[in-house]
Amino acid sequence: MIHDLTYGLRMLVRSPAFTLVAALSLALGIGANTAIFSLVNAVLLRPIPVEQPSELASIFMTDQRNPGNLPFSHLNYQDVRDQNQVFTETAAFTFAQLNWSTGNDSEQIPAQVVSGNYFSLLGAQPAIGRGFMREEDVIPTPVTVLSHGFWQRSLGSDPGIVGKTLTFNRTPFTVIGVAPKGFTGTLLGGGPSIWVPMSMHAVAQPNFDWYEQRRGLFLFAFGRMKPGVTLEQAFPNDNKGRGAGAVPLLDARLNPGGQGGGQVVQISMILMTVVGIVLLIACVNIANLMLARANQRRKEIAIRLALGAGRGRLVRQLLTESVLLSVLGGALGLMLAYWLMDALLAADLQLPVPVDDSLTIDGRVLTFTALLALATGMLFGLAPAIQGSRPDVLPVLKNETAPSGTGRGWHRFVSLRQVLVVSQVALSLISLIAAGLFLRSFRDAQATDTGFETRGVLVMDFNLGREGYTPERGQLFYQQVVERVAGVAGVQLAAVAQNPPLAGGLLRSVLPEGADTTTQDRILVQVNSVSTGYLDTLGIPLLRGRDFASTDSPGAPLVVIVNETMAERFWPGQDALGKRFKFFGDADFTTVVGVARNAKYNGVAEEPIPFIYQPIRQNYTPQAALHVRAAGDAGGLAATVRRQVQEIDPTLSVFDIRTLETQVADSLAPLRINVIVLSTFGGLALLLASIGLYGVASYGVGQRTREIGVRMALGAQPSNVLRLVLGHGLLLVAIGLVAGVVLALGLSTIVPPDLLPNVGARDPWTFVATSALLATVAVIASYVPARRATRIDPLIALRTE
Amino acid sequence: MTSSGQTLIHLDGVTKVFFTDEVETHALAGIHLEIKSGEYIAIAGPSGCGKSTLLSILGLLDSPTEGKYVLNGKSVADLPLSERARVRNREIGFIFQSFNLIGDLNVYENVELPLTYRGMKSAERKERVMAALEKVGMAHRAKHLPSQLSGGQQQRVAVARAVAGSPSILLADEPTGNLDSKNGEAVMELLRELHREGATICMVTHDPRYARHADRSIHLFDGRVVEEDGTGKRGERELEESGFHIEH
Repeated sequence: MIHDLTYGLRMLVRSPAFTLVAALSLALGIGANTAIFSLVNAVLLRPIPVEQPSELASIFMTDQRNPGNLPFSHLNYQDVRDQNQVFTETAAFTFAQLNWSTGNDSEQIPAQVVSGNYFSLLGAQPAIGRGFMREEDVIPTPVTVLSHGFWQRSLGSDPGIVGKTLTFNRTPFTVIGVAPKGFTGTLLGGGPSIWVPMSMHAVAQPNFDWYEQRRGLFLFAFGRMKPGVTLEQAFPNDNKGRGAGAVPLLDARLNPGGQGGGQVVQISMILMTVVGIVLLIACVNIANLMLARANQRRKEIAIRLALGAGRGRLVRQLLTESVLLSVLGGALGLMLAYWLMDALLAADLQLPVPVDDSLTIDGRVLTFTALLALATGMLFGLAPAIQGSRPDVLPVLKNETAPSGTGRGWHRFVSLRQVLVVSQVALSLISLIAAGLFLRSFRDAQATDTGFETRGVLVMDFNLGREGYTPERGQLFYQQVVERVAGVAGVQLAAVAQNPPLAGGLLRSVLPEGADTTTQDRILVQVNSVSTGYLDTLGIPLLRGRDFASTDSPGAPLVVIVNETMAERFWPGQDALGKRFKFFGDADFTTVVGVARNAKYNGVAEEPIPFIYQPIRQNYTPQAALHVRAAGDAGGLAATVRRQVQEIDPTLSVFDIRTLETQVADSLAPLRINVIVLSTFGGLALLLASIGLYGVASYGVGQRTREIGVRMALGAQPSNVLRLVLGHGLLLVAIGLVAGVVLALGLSTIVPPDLLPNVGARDPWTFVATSALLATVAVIASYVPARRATRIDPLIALRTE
Repeated sequence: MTSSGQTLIHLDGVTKVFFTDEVETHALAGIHLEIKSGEYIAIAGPSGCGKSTLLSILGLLDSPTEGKYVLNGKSVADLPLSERARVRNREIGFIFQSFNLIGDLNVYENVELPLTYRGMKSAERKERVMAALEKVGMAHRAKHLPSQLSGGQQQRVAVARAVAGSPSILLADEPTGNLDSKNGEAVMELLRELHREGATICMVTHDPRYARHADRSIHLFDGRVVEEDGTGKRGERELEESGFHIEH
């Protein structure tokens, strides 16, 4: 083996050009795979730093009317906690955004409101201080545990932080601990900045009055299973047609909806597939190079065989060279991966899951890269080694060239090199189609009419509940802020709404007047509370009826404006104006006073859905966004508008001031990331494939020099030779394209439709365009050697033996 | 068959010089040669004397450094590449020492190849290919690949390919060089038969046994014609000097 290694190294050093090209191709493939695997490792594979994670299960509620795994209401969670026979203990948490006041400034931070046993059940031992105690869950106690990242980033890793107070939602909280490093809760991603006990929910979630109602589903629960208990055991706690279930916590992290995987998992799978394809193409390239090299070494191998070397021994020697090459490529790939990961972080791609701290090359990534390099070496080295180790000894020793058409069986018609080229084209096409589909989907999404005017609108958020506002004071504030901002020079209109565009709305059950209110006619519709002038400010046309007026006040008849889809779906063939319905739980009817044009409410790619606008005066909400339509540049008004808001309330925290254009662009961030990453790898695949095609065409011309000379001697024109070489290359490309299309169509069946909105995974234009692109590149790659073939001197070619 | 007297090829003062960085090699030095239609000429001489270079120039695979080359009344010394290819295709039939059949094409397709470059219709091509294969006795092997044939059979296919297009002249470069004596004799007999049927043949050989089959032998030495023997007697004399017996 030592001899093989030494000889292999010598052979690599002796062919520096070959070694360089092969190692760089491999480095590209292995580097891309390592970088993406590091990302997947950071996002999906890193274990939760808790005790015995396999004993933990995520508990969820099921409802016949609503698919998927649902969170619990507080009361139902209490039932499960107290009555179940399956878990030794259960815990729960929900999400909140808190205002963290720092002097005159404030910042909105993500928090989790958790049951008192949250840390103890998980067995997550705080790095400093302690977790919550059970009594802190019963008696309202303003204490908090900080995340390790928040403590480092925002508090300078203050070692004496325990015992100090931080002000959240204008309430001082005592810091009792700092969570262990790397602990981000039980869900994927960056996790909260702080945890507060559920006893403090009134402060953390002001005006959130669902804790005593079974209809409010907001608590995420998990439990530690009793010894010997399995998840297959029936869950006993039925509750009025609702049931409960459980899945392992580790699975629930990856698949929070329980319906086939979250988007993070899907995108990770696609990225791993595409970089895998890039590596396969690189392997095919190198296999082709190795085949050419084996052909050049036929004499050396024939001599070894003549001297009595066994075939297995020769295969081992050739494979050793391949593996040496792949180790070199792997080392270079690792360096490339470091660079790619830095570039990924520097690019600030706004990944759906933050990964900055966790994106590192750890033992798992190193193992992955090492195994990948070894497997790669075997993959591209085995076939050339087997083929290269079986030359016909005598003719080779007599310096006779192997005439074409002397193979046996299928080898006469199909060579390994041709098979490799076809595979390469097919694989490249798949990666190009993936990139093309996302690009087209992204462009479609960009061109989508959102239903509102994005230009010239400024948006900013605030939460009056966290500032201690009563509903009455809040309503007054909304009225003042709209009037004041509307009077600013350069401002045309201003309005407030509970949710800004593309942030959806509260789902409420709607019961049309006269319909069966018990089952099928109870339809969930998203609702947004808005002030007068909201539709004008956003540029949403009111098709019929009227806007909200000052008379639509508390105590006045309840009114709403619905969108076209709502009007058509609830009252088909009728005029929706004047129609009445009840929201589930309301005593009074609500009357439709206007019909607005459809808009996009949750994302630019969504299909039309029913939507309701309620007057904010009749449906107060402490959380709201101010919308300002500017006459010119909206961004330029940010400071002025903020100042006007704070002149009404100097201590009010105003967050996330942005233009509506930015908000819409940000909503496309996940799609944009896919486009960037997949286009990069698609381009890489195309480059590798074109290098491969060029190499094969060049090699083919070299092998067929004598034949081309004969043809020219017999009167072939340069155009005949050009056609011959190009035709041969393009035939392989055509076969590869057909294979690629068939494979891509097959793979399209496993792509979830929501991943490629508007376009789908079988978009014919993308298939045609990417095939045409690949064919064009293939023509160019084959043309250069073909052109060279036309310049072959038949006299010299005929002398070649 | 003897020549019809019409001049097919006329070389006048043809020279060929190969230039390298340091050396000028005069492969041909002032060759004057006339070949009449229907003539069978052998070009003989020792290795390196310029036989193959002369044949390459005659076959328009190479061009002379100086001198005139008239083929069928047309000057062809300085034709552009595409025109040379056209003339090669229509006027010249090559028979190579190493057969030069294309391994991926079967016998029929090999013979058909020069006709496809001529743009001939399929039906006519088929007629000509089958006729040529019949002539060389290889029609029954039309679907075979070259690798399935013996050397003698491959050379007969190469002869069929050369004659299929009815060229003005057949240029044979050591056509028996890769064959055993029995197969070599069979190929020479085939060439004789073609000649009897009217073909003009110019054959390079260094084997005096085969040179004597020609109407005329031209002997080259250091790129010059040193002797012309119109009866092939010199070939016989050389053969006798080599210890062979010639029956008269």
